[in-house]
Amino acid sequence: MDETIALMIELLPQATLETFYMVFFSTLVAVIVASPIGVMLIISEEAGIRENQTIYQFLSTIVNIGRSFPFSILMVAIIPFTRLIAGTSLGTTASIVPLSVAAIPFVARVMENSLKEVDQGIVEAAQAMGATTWQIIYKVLIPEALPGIVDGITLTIINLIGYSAMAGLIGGGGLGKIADQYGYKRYNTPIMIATIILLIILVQLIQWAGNRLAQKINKK
Amino acid sequence: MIVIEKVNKVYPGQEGKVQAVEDVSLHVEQGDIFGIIGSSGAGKSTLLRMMNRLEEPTSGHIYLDGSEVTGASETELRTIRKKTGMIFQHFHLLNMKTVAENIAFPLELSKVANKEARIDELLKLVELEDKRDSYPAQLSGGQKQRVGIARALATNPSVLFSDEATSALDPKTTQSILALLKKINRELGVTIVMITHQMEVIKQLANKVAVMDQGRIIEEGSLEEIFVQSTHPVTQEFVRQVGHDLPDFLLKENPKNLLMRISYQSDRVGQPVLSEAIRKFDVNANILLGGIDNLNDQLIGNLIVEFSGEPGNIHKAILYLEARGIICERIER
Repeated sequence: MDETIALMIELLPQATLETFYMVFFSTLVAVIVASPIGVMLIISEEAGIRENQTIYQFLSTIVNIGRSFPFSILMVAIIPFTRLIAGTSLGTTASIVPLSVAAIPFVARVMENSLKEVDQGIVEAAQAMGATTWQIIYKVLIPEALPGIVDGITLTIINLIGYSAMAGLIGGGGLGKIADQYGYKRYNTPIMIATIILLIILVQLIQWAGNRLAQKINKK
Repeated sequence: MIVIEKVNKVYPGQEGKVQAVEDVSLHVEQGDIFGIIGSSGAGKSTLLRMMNRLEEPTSGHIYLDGSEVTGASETELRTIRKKTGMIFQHFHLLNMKTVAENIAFPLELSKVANKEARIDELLKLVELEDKRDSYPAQLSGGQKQRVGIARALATNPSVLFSDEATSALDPKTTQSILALLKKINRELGVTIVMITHQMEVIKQLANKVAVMDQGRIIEEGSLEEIFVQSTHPVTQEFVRQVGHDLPDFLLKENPKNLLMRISYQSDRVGQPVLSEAIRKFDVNANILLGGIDNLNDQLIGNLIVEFSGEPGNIHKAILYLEARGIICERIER
């Protein structure tokens, strides 16, 4: 038993940090890449401020294709791309690549849906005041949709924690790897339970923090 | 000044085209409070929204203070829009921004320096100095509309478009908003173009009125003309909403006597024309209903009078009244 506890102390803090690292950077990359896509979706859609059916259909199809892939398959399918970007397909840093790729279409839809919630009348009022499309995007749409965007990012982070555990199965780091290598493959049930408890706590904490933040900034 | 020339708006519908606005021409003079009234679906909202091209006209020309709105490039259109303000039925304030930030928004768009002083001025104008840092969700409907008005006026526009600005407000709040709009028109000289379905609002605020029905302007004139001389049934229906209408049972009493609707404009109020006519021609006049209405500070008389006596004398009495500029209209019963 003491051995197990010693092993936990040795492995778990490091693995938790790795999970944080993967999830944080893949969320960051996904938000940076997906936000413009979400904005383009909302302004190009029917009756959007820059309606363009061709662009909308094109982006929407790409996003749907991206979201159709099960993560485990996507992760393997893009190994060449991961190698190209990270130099290797193994390890914690490399797994940021598939995690980001998986999260981008998700975040794009999350952005689109949050931005869609903004009252069209507010956008119209800004147009009547002579705002440019760009000003409407960053002074009206994004600030007004911010609570919804925060909720969506919280959802993304939690999804990515789940995905990152999966990435652990094929050479990624983090809590997923510990659960697999020690818990599953070596029948060390206490370690498996400990990692799962840690994951539950992480998800709870992030959900709580996300809700608090969304609530705090929502003035509606 | 706004000039609208032969403007049309056609929507491509699933079951054929829908003509929302048909061949509308209007002149709004500087300083006017121009009311456009119509039922829902009459096209008034589309017409208003074409004036700043929130809606693209299908054909026709619109000029605002000499610049053509129709045909302006996007950049030109933004410049034109910055010289106009607009208020809405549902206010459309930025929910995530405070009152002061909402008012600052058009100033930011126009890159105005010294925003704070202007915000203070506007808050004072709309009497919301104590709500500077409140968020829209913390305000009542009337307060939200005041913020909307302050925001619309921030860049000193020459014209204010009002899209059913009081339709979501209770009667008391409506009164205070109408008073504020009147003050803005008088003190700042801002031209107001407002659309509404409430004749009460037109009656209190407008100096000129256009009545819309099925996409067309069916009648247009000064407030007095619309109230006293309108001929179109749709206009008369609107006028009756705020006027005096005879209940059915009174119509059926004394069927032999002649019933007349007598209307007169402000210059006749205060002259005892009716009693002169009664004495001169020896007829009886029984006022069944009516009163003197205050139309945007102009007095209008509107009476329903039952005449009895010698038919020849009644006829002469009515001719006498008509000769003195009083409009007499027989009510059939």
